[in-house]
Amino acid sequence: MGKIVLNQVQKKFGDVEVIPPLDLTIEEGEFCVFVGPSGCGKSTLLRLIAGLEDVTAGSIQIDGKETATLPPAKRGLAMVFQSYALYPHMTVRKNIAFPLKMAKMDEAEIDKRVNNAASVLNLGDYLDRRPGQLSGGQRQRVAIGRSIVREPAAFLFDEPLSNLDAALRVGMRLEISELHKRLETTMIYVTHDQVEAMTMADKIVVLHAGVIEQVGSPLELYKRPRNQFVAGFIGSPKMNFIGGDAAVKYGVPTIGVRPEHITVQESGGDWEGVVGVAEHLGSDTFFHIHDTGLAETITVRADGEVGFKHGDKISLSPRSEMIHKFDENGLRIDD
Amino acid sequence: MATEHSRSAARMMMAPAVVLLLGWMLVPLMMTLFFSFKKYLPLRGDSMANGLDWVGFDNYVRFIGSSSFWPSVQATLIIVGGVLVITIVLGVLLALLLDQPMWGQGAVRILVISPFFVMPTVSALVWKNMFMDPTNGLLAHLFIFFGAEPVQWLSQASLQSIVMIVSWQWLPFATLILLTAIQSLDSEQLEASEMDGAPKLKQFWYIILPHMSRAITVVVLIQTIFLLAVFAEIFVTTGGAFGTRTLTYLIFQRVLESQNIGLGSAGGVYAIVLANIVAIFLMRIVGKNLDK
Amino acid sequence: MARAITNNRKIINTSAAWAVGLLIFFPILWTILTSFKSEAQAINDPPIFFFFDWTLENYGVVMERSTCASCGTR
Repeated sequence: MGKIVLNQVQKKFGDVEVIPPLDLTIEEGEFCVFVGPSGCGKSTLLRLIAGLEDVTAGSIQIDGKETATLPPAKRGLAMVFQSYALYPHMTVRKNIAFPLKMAKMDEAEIDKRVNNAASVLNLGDYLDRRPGQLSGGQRQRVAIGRSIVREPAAFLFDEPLSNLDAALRVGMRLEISELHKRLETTMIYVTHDQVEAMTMADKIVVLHAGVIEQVGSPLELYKRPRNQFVAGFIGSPKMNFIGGDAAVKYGVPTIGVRPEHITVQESGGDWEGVVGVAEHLGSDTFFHIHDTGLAETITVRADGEVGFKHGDKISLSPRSEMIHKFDENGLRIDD
Repeated sequence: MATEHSRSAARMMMAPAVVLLLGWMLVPLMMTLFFSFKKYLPLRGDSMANGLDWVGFDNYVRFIGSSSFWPSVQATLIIVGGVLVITIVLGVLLALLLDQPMWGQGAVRILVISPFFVMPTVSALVWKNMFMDPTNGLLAHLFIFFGAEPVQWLSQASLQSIVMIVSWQWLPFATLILLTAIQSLDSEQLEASEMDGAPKLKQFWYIILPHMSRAITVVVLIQTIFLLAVFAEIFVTTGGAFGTRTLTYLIFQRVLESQNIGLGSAGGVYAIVLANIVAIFLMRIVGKNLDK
Repeated sequence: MARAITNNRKIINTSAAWAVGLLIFFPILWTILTSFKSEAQAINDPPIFFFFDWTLENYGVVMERSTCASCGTR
């Protein structure tokens, strides 16, 4: 249950093509994350799958059934919205029971499923409260509860964590991952946060201006980004892109080195520079290095013990086996 | 931060307004109460200078005992209730319609709101002479056109006619408030209910209507207060005849037509009591709704 | 992100809303039209909508009868 196949799906708003025809297959039970900068069409793509927007052309198959023209409720999908979209005048119990009530399920079955969902999500004590009396994380859980009672073919999440504070976000991230492991249902998750994408996904779909830049597992994307956009988007801090003579040495127009693949020492390295800002996180230190003649700043991730300060002269050496090479169109060149 | 000093300065500055408002409310109220216990018939030579006779609760007993009292309460409630039902039902429907995307939305909204800017007296005159007149009214022409007998609106269907005129005046207000309520509904809630399998009608019933309940209670409360005092529409159209004598109109007749100030004042006190009962009742509903 | 709606839907909405709007506005429109009619034409049977002899005489009468007509001349 829960295989979703998009075939030549296209979306236009008037004359503007938001999503050029694209193909995508999401396997059964997979946790698939759509990631990209804002305005890249990831939410639109999710809403096309949900049926909240109509496709301009193309087909969407869910478990082999053509659904592109079906209304949202008939597609067997459940969605968790960014604002949670709970019904404020209903208690938590009624919120969770609402889809079942609309499906005209009998009372006993509704009760059973609501109680079951509540115990899975630790909402047992809050069933008779209204959404207004709950914290952000609890509301999030109610929204998830409302979608799991329907036992859908797939869950759709539209930036569900962006309204939570940082600490809660990490907690909910784990909870959703655990939920996925337990339910083994397909999940499609939209986010602009590449950390969420890397930590949760089985498969990441990187979108840019409506086009799929790359599809792959988190480590594939990290190790072998298909182009400069993916290379820059995945990984934090961002990859350093270096052009000019330093790249010509490797025989390509542009090379990319991740901050964690550069070593620093006082002198004797490949490149020289001056420390602009040093961010000490304890476990790691990030150096933003100027005046290298390579790029405006080069970011380096070093061990927490390394003690360079602002204004210090510093010498850098990239680990040559970790250098990514790109051609003039920004595409990856493999050796 | 309010210091002791600034707080007393604030009180000083507010004092004139408070005193003026209190005087505005209290003096007429006290005078009404005072006269309601007196025999005061100016045409029979009673005057403040000669001193008025204290008659205890005579005026109250006479006012409530009059054969026109209960019919007037009934007429009041029919007008208030009728107008509330019509304006809210049509107001909700109109608000739903105006919320849809369309061409010329701003212009349509102005058209719909326009009756609110017409003075009650003027609108009553317009309806009476140009629409409900049995020979020259447009409605009469319309009835004849369809081969029906024109209705003598203001004598045969007097209460209905007044309810209609007043509803026309208050529909814009209800629509406006309800429209803003609909517009404040989070569209994700509607989408969520769509995903949950709710058809349009159930979306309306389970999502949109509960969302508007607070606005509806506000409309009910405000309109009730103003509708209890409807006067010009009755004065202009039927002059209180044909069963359209409301409590307000009855009081007016007692004071100005019968020149019985004491009796009218007692009626005024009844009206205050009635308005307060309605208000308390409504406030409770509103309060309950606001808690949610 | 509002859901795109079809043009047909929009045409229906527009015509319905304008119909209701004009119906509600009609008494005011009729008042304005009548204000430009002569007394005889105002009670004409059948009523005339636009093709009557437009006149400002009623406005003149109002100005004459109001006490302020002499404000400027005094």
